[in-house]
Order: sequence, then C-alpha cells, then structure tokens
Amino acid sequence: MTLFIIGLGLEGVASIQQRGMAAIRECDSLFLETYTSGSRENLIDAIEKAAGKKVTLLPREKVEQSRIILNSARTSKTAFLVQGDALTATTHNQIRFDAIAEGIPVEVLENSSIITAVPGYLGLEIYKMGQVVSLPYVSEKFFPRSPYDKIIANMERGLHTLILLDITESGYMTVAEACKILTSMNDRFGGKLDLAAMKVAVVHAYGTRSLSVRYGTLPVLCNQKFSDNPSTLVIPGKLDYNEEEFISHFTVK
Amino acid sequence: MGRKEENIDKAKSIVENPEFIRNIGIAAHIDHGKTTLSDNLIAGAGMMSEELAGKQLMLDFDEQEQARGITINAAVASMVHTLDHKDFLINLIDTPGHVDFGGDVTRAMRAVDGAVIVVDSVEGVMPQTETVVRQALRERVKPVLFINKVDRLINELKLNSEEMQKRFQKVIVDVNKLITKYAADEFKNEWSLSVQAGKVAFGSAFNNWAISVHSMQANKTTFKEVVDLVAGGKQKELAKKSPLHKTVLDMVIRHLPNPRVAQKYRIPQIWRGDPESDVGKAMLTCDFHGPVTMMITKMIIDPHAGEIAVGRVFSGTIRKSTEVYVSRTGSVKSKVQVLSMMVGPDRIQVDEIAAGNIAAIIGLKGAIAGSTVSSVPDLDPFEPMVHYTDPVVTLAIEAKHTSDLPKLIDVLRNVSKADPSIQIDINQETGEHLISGMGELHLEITLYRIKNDYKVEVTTSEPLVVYRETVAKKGGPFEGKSPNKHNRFYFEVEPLEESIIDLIKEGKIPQGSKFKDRKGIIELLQNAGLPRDEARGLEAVEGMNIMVDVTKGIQYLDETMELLIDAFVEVINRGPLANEKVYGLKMRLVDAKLHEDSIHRGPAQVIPAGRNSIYGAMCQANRILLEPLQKVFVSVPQDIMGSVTNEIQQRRGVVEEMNQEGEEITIIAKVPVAGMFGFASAIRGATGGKVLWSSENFGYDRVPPELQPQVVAKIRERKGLKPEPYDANYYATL
Repeated sequence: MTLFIIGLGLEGVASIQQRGMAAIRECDSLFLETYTSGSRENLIDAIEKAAGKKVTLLPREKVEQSRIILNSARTSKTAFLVQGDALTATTHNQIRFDAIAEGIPVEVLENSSIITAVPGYLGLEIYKMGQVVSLPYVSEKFFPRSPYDKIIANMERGLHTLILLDITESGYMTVAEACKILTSMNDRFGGKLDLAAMKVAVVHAYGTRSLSVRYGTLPVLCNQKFSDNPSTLVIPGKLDYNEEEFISHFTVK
Repeated sequence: MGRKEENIDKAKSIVENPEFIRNIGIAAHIDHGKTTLSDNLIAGAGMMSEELAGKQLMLDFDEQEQARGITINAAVASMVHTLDHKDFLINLIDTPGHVDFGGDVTRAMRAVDGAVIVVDSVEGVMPQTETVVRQALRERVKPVLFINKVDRLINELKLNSEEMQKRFQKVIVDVNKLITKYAADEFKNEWSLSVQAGKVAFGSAFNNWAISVHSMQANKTTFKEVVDLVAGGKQKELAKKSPLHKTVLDMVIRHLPNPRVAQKYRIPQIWRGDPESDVGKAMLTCDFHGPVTMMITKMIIDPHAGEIAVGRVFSGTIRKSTEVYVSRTGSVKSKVQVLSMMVGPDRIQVDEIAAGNIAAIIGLKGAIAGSTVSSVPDLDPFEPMVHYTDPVVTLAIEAKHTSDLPKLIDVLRNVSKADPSIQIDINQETGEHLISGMGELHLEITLYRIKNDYKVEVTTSEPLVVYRETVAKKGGPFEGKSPNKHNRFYFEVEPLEESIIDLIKEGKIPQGSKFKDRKGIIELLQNAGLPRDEARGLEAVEGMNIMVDVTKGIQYLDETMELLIDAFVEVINRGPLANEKVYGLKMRLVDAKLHEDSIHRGPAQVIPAGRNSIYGAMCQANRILLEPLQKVFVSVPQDIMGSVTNEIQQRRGVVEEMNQEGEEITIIAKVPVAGMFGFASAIRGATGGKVLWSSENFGYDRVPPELQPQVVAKIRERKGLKPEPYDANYYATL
C-alpha cells in the first residue's frame, strides 16, 4: 500500500503539520521510533488521542530490522513517525529505499530539524557551520578519535561545530558527561584544545517549556544544572560581528 | 636427636652454598618406578625409615595417590647426602607420570637443574619417556639415566649377561637419540649418556640396590657377581653392599650441575630481562646477596595453612616477615608469613632460604603456579611455562546445596590456581560452571579433592569431550552487516599455516593484541612463511588462531579495530558448528565500509558485523569438527589379546602396533577420547584384571565426516541450541 515517513518536528504533537496529521488519521498502522531522540510519555498519548488509534513504539533494533515496518506497509497504509525531520537519520533513508526497492510507494512529510534550529536559535550563521559531530559514550575498546579530529578541523577553518549527544536506554548524555568525554579525548589525542578557556553553547530541551540556552566556558557550563531533557552542544568557531552580538545574549558566568 | 632432625639441621647449614646443592627431578613413563625410587632415596638419606620405603610411597602423600598407586602432585623433598666427606643438599621434586597430569611435569622441570630419567629395563623407552625427556631438555635440565627393574630381567626373563648388556645398550642409545633430537646444540654432545662416564646406573628401586661404574669400582664387584646375587635371591645383601641411594645420589652429585653452574645457561632461556641489570647478574651467578627472584612452580592448597606457594629461588635470600612483589598483582606487596623447606609432606619452618633452593611460602597474595616473585617491583616475569596439552574432557559442576554456591566458586578458583591445567569456565547458555582437564582420571581426582579436601558436596554431569572447530579450505570474503546496515566488514578465513601454529605453541608469538615487540614478531611470522602483508597486519592472536588486517587506507577503520578483535575472540570461543573453540584459523580482514559518524559504528554495531562476516566465511570454508585422541598402550598376555583389540575397536580405536615380548603382547592404539570413557573398568573386566595400560593425549583429528552431523547435533542439543548449525545464508541476512 503506502509508507508515510512523517517528521514530527521539534515540539511534539503541536508541531505535526496538517498534512502529517491527516496522514496519521488516515493510516492503519502507526510506528514511532524512540531512539534518535527518546520519547515523551505525553507525545504518545497525544498522538494516540489525535489519531484515535494505537501507536507501536520501536526501539532501535526493531527499526534497524525494518521488516516490521515494511511488512506492514506492504498490506496497509503505514506511518513511520520520527522526531524532528524525516530523513536526517541514515536509518530512515535506509527504510525509505528498502521500501522503494520492494515496490512500496513512499511519501515523505518533512518537518524542522535540530540541525538548523539550534544554530538559528543561537544566532549563528548557517553558512559557517562545519561538519556535524556525534559524541559517543567511550570505553577502553571504543574510543574513536574522529569526533575530536572533526572539531579541531572545523575550528581551524573558523567553522561552528554542532555536537549531537549520545543517547542510551537509560537516558540522554548530560552536558557534564559530554564535558568529561571531550576532556578525556583531549587528554588522549594530543591536547590541542584549551578546554578551560573554550567557549561552548548549550541548547537544552528545545521545543519544550524547559528550554534553556546558555553560552560560556566549558568548565562553567559543565557545572551547571539542567533538567533531564536532551541537550545539544555547539562549539562556535570564529564569530562575526552579528554572531558575537546575538550569542552573547545567552552568556552565563 | 634422631637422624631425620640431624639431617634437617645439616640441610639448613648448606642452603647458602650453591656448590653443595642439587635440584633434581625424577621423570619417567608411568609405572617405570619413579615414586619407589624417590622414596628409597629419601629413606636412604635418613629422611624416613628404610623399612617403610617402598611400601609407604612417601611422596605419594595424597590419600588419592596412595589409593591409586600413582603420583599426582609434584611434591618436594630435601635431603642430605655425603660424598667424599662433604655434605650435599639435594632437593628432589617428584613428578607425576600419568599423562593426565602433564602440566605438573612441565612446572616441576622449571624448578630443577638436573633430572634422573628412569626407564624400565623390561619395557624400554616408552612414548612418555620421550615426552618427559623433551620437557626436561627444553628447560635446559641435564639428564642422567637410571635403568630400573633389572632384577626382572634376571629372575623373570632369565636373560644371560650378554643379552642384558644388549638391552641396556638399546635403552642408552634410545635415550641418547632423544637427547640429540631435543637438546640445545651446545649440549648435544656434552649431555649424551654413557656407562663409562658414570652417567648411567642400573638396579632395582624396589629392592633398593643400584650399581654404576663408580660403585663397582668402589665395591670391587663385577657385573657377574651382581647377577649371581640377584639370581641367588640375595638382593638384600646387594642392597647393603651397593645401596640404591648411594649409587644414584653419588651420580647426581657428580654429574648434575649445581645451581650456580646451571643458572648461567638456564637463565637466558627462562628469563628475557636485561642480563646486565643487577637482577640479571644476580640470577646468572645465583648470588644470594642480590635482589630476590623466585618462580612459583606449584601451589598447594592446604586446608589448614591455606595457599602455599612452592618454587625455585634464583637469586637473593628470602627472609621471613619481609615483603615481596608477585607478578601481575600490580604494586601490592605481600608479606612472607611462613617460610619453609619441604620434606615430603612435612614443611620445616626456617627463617631464610637462599638462591638455588626450593622454598615454600605462605602469604603471597595472588600467586599462581607460574608467578614471578621478587623484591624488585615490576621485574620482567619469567617466561611462561609451556604446556603441551589442552584440556580434552569437561563436565558441568553444581553445588548440591544452593547455599554452597559461593563456596564452590571459591574452591574452583583455588583448584585452578593450584593446577593450571584445570580450566574453569561458565557456560553462557545455562550459567553452570564447567570444569575441564586433561582426562577422565584428572577430573575424577579433582572432584575427589573438591569433595574431601574442600568439603563441598557437588553434583556433576557425565564427562564430555572437548571438541575443536576448524575449516578445510578458504572461505569468503563474506559480507557481515551491522544491525543498522551502515557498516560492512569483509573477512576471509583459511587454515592457519602449521609453521605459525608451532610458533604460537612454543610461546614465541604471544597471545592477545598488545604486542611489546611488534617488529620482532612480524619478522618471526614472515620467516615462518606468513605473507608479508599478513605479518604486518597482525592484529590479534587467540588460542591457535590469528586475525590479520590486510586492508589499506580505510578511513575510521582503526576506530573499530578493538571491537573487531572482540568479535574475533567471540568467534574463537564459540565456533559456528557447535559453539566449541576454534583451532588453527587465519582470519583476514580484506575490506570494510564504515559510516561517517562514530555513533553509528559503536560496539553494538561493529561486534555483530565482524562476527557475522567471520561466521559466514567459515560456513563457506567447509567446517570441520575435531576431536581429541589418545594413544593407548596395553600390555596383556597373548591368549587374551583378542578381548583387548575387541574393546579398542568397539571404541573407534585403531591398533597401530603390536609387539611381542615373551608371553606378553604390547598393543599401541589410537582411540578418540570420546571412546575412552569407562575404558579402565571395561578393559579390567574384559581381561580379568590381567592387563597393564597407560595412555597419553595425542592431539586432535577430524571426526569422521559420516559421524560429524550427528556429533554436532548432539553437542548443540546439549547446549540448548537447535540441532542444525546455521548456514552462510543465515549470516548474510543478519
């Protein structure tokens, strides 16, 4: 039948577009992925209420296997609901093209993404964004160097680095944890960053009432308290006149 | 003061004079008379009454050993012997002869400088004689020879003097062949044995007499007189005139090296540290003023005293109440709480023991057989002791009372500490503990100890064979996908070159993935025939398997390598056929496709991808199940030989050789370990007890192809898996 890949936007059910909501009402089966950005209780409730039907939650392994979604889409109108925009996650595109390969019609309903929303909110120019980096939880056997190298490369070119923080079943990586991992990477890979003086911006709980945006040195932000919502980090590169003025509104000491 | 006490006092006075010390072992094929020889030596030296010797089997002090009449532990005894008015201290380590206890033999050899090889004159050189001689020579332990049971040649086989000489000559030639084969080049000539040089003695350990060139000169006897005495039933007289202990210990003192002489050429073989360092110099010269170095060769778990570490002191002087470091326990110091010399089952407490001696210490935290002990922190450890055999039999063990479980776990840990040839694992599927050893008997005895010495009641499964998995040919490259499908790895597998397996077996290529001397290892591998790109791409060694990375310039691959090594180790520990360990495989990483972002290629993605790729490649390479074999030696009267060959054939055994010796037939057969369960009682029943037999582990061979599917299915069902192993398609769709 048809697979709808529907971006929910950044503010839960309130940010679902009209077309998206119409598709949700029309679909026989609804799946919601919960791992690119955890899921809030009230989000599921709200969607179920609005759609008048059950939503099936899919953890990462289930989405990766993609069979459940594809099997459903083959015989019924199926919506795959993802937070933020529809297709930034590689896995979502994988599902899209797997479906196309199997002859299932796919409709993509876009929405806004943290990737543009965060720099915008901070007043940073989208033209000066460097490579996006994810910061993983590290261990002795998995201690990748590439996130660190990419931050350095961006900085050397004066570009801003958007850092997406890891997420596990037990919750989101906190700002404090992120600081610790950045510090351990710096220690291990040559100490090219002056972390004590490095300025960082945190956009916390975007799209909720707990939204909090702060700008300051890493040690200062590291010791701040945040709610248990997700955070996104930005390490600004070279700031121009406008950026300097805008971002300074969020300065904390 | 009794003679024993007097000797202990003498012993204490010699310990600081290496010239007057000999550390020796006695090594032989089973039943050739090691323990009887040891006991009579100890009794002769006044450490136990002569009446008891030969009956008490002093070194067999474990109840189990006496009941079975075989020696299990390598126990230590110190004794004093006088030659030319000088007192010598001889530290004797008894070694087990049963094949099931090979690990103990290897460790005993590390502690000694010389060995008395015992050969039964009736049977001649047997396969285990070769094994123990090889083990001795590898550790640079110098041999002398004692040809035993000569009285049987005279009284039972009724050989005349000439026939006997011929027989002796054959034994000596055979042993010398082994020396030429296994000794280091510089010793091949110097260590070869001859009667004229006095390096060979003959006699009857049981009847307590022995002769050598020296003893015959001293006693002014001739060989003919000796033969006449034995034939005339006057062995007691002979034992007075030419006592066993005197002849053999004289030979030991004259021909086996003292610790100072021996350490000069043994240390470079067993310790790879800097010979010019203070410690190195002290060890090379056996200097008792230098830093303390000691290697633990045996752990005894005493129900009262706790863990006792027994080993050889190579330099310095160990003193009671001082602190020492134990290798691989970090910078923690251990205090020498109790220090003793060993006299059979007795430990005589002393205040200090100097270089060149065998010491027993209570208080060393974390020590295991093989540990290096030193007064210097971070001392380069001694070379690991090479084991020739892997466990071949396993069983599941549970505490009878659930409340005993913590105790059982503790006991199992102790058991494997005391005997590293015992392996303890946890079955991942069922959570039960598995205990593996060198044979059915080895496990039986270990279980006996758990029940009687440690007082834990246990229930066990039937003993099971430990299988191995490998492949027949090349397989792959096979694409293994990560669960998110964003990462793909391509492995090839093929049988690992025999020459490389040998290098790993010999310990020249270390296990693991952190190589200290990477350059040297690459060179060794290349010289042994591994292609250059594979040698340079070596990533990990696990068991007799290696993983190499032959890819070039793949971005981010290094960030996933540790995880791929984890995948490789997982596969080695759980082969795709039956979840048995993998043996002799080379895994080549030939290509990889990786996601740009590191979060998309973490452990949960990379490990399954690597695993699927290797498993899939193995499926394409014709998977083979290997089973352990034993070589079985049976001596039986000719008229009932049929029942023995019958028994062997029923057990899938193949008779390889039959030798006739009078009315006796010796049968040599190769039998799968799977067929050997219950063999002891079956063969006794079949022959009415008129049988002598021994066995030794003999490596692995493939399970006959027609049997493999059903054996695999049986193992899998026992492990709670579906009977059919997965095929390549399965791993491709994961």
